[in-house]
Amino acid sequence: MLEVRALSVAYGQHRALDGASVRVGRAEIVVILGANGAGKSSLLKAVAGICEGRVAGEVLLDGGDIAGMAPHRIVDQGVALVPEGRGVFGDLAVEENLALGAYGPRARDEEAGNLDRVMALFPKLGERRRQVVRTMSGGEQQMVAIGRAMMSNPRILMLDEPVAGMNREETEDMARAILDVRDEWGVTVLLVEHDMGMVMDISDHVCVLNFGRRIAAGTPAEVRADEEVIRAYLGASREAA
Amino acid sequence: MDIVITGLVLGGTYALIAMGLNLQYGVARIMNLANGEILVAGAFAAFWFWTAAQLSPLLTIFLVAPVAYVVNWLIYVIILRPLVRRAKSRGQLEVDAILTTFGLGFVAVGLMLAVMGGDYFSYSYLSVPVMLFGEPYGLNRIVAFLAAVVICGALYLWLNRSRAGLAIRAIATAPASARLVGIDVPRLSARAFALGGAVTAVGGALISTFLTLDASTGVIFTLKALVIVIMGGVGDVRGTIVAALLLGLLETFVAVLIDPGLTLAAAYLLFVLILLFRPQGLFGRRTT
Repeated sequence: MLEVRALSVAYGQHRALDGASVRVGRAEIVVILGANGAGKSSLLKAVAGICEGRVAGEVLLDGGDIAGMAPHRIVDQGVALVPEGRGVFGDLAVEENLALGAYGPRARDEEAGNLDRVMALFPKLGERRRQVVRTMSGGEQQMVAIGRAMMSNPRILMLDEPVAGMNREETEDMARAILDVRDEWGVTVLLVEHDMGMVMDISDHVCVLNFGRRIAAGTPAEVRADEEVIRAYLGASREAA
Repeated sequence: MDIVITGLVLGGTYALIAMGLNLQYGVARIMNLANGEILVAGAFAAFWFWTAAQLSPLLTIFLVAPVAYVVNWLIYVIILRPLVRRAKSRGQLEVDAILTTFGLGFVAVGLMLAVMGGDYFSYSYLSVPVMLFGEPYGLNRIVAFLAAVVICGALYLWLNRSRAGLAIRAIATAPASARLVGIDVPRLSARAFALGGAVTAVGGALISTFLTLDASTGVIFTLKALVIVIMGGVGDVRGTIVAALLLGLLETFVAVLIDPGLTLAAAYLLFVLILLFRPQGLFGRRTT
């Protein structure tokens, strides 16, 4: 469904991503794992067309190349991104944020139906429709961000560290919501995270980046057993454990 | 009582002018120092149509608005969009925009001097007294105020009730996030800048019914609009209206009770006080 081929991102002399390739199948949850600075966020931004650096490589969505398209056209192709820091409209109300999610022509026909489904996914948002988003907790703002992304009627939802700063209960709720997005909505999820525990439980495939390069890809079990991954990423946490 | 009514009537017209600058600065991120020249151009169009064809300024605004929209859209696309594209930060864009529009203001003054000459221009339109609460007021001021109320009200409703208005507010709130929901930020920014110019030009046409202007008076209105936008809060329509009414009241109080020559000084003293003690605007929240 989504195929990233030899994607490179450079900010001036710094190469954040160096020829990384990722394949994401329909209705899968694929996790990109890596330490800070591994190039995970740059990859999502490049796919969404909002990367400020120099981007080279191919981004194929169902065979069509979307690399270099304007961000609003990429949203209209069915790619939704919830960036690091959530990117919500803090001064607007919950219902206004959700309405903005359905701004593009792709989402208009399904707006009412998607709103009902978002409310079923995150019932708390229904109780707080008129609340200004900046007055909500971090976990609630993440719900707004994901709900807004789902209002765009996406084919693929990209999440950048969706459980950052959440406690265990919030993390479990978010993991359930991500599974619902795949199972109930049939939407593909591409997720960037460094919280190993959460992502290994919910992902179908894992891709590991290290210093801008892909060093492993496979099922969670395969990645856990990969020697290079253990050396580069898991090793530290095993030693710590 | 007459000071309050005169102040509110003047402030209502100021609100329209400042609304134009607020759209340009709050949404398109362009601090347009040539805003006042657009106002004078709108005023001159109203003057010209009145003297040449006795066309009411209330009808002229329907010609002025689309022409000003197109002219401002072209200014944005040709001159200002390259600045937006190359700016690495909002600060850099503000500096570049201020310097560029400052220069554009002089170009506009030069062009208007060439076309209009250096004389003051005014005309007599509805300059008859009308009694309100036992006091006489110029009918032209009351009509201009009512037209400003209608236009400001329509803008407010459009911004708060329509999908396009919501998108405009989204860009004003967080332009980087607006891209994530499929808003074509560059295109909508150009339209907001053009709309801001059209609103300002209409404000100029209305204000020309009771004020005497010349080609070089634009800068005074630019600075008044700036005072109102900073006082009301960038991108805040409600704040703009309240701030404009306050400025109108302040100017009238000073003119009537102290000295008419001190109205501008009072306006800029207020500006300095707002910048010192409430830079986020009357209703804005303090940034962290």
